[in-house]
Amino acid sequence: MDWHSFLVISHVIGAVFGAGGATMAEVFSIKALKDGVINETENDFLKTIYFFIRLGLFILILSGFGLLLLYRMEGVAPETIYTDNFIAKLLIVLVIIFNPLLVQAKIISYSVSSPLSLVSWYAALILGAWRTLDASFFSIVGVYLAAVLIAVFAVKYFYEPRVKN
Amino acid sequence: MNPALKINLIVHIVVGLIAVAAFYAVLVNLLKSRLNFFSLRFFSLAGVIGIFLSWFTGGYYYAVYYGQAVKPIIKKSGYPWIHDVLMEAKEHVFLFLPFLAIVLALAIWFLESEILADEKLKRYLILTAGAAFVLGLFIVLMGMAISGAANIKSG
Repeated sequence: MDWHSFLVISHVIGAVFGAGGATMAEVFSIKALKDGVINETENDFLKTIYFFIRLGLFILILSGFGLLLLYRMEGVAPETIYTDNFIAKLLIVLVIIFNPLLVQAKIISYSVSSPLSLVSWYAALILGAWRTLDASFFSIVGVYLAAVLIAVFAVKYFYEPRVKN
Repeated sequence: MNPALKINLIVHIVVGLIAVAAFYAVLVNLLKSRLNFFSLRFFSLAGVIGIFLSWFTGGYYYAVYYGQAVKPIIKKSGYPWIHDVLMEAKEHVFLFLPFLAIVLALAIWFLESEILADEKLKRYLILTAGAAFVLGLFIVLMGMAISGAANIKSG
């Protein structure tokens, strides 16, 4: 297997861990919070899922830099790498990185952080897979922000009141 | 670029990323209400080792290759500011990181009871870890821009 295939496969595995973990975290936390509290077993499940999300993020970043390094050594022109799609994906990965910090520091609530994580992981996954997407940076970020707002709104107004009742 | 320099550059990037990830892990751990000193010690040490290895390999690459082979390409391209601003900033801002990493690791390894008892000390350590992580992240992003500019000749 050549380096390019190895790095692409690692990149995909990282994205799968992240997006899959974020989906499971959302589903499990919604199920766990049905009775209003997260018990020890549920907490243990969520901790395991968060570990895989972080592992996915680490693999994704490391393999992403591996690919950039490979392109650098192969002399690939920067215009073909640093596209609007790539820069938007980079911004979304930064959101994924800062999201746990903001929730741990209690700057944003869990009900914002969780859908933000879910949408961001799927956005990164879609942008990574959709190489032929011909859209500007601002239109990609615009759609992403709209998706985040819809997800946060859905959790806050459709799910949270059910938990409280 | 000969194979030894390629390996040197790979090590510089990988250990640098590991160091930034370690600062991030220390920061996330310090923000938790219940501190896990086993992982704090592990990641703070990984941060120190990573940043020093990245420093030496990066310094070697700069002295042996970048100055002669990459810098002239960037300076002659349409983006000379990538060297003049980003590379210069990267070099100088980086110098904070070894010291921040050492302070963080020493405090975590030797001041466990003080950190647990003193909320103010914990807050300062959060700020130190946050500064190390954010500076590290900026350096990573600047490195990406510089690396991209190095290939402008083939564009």
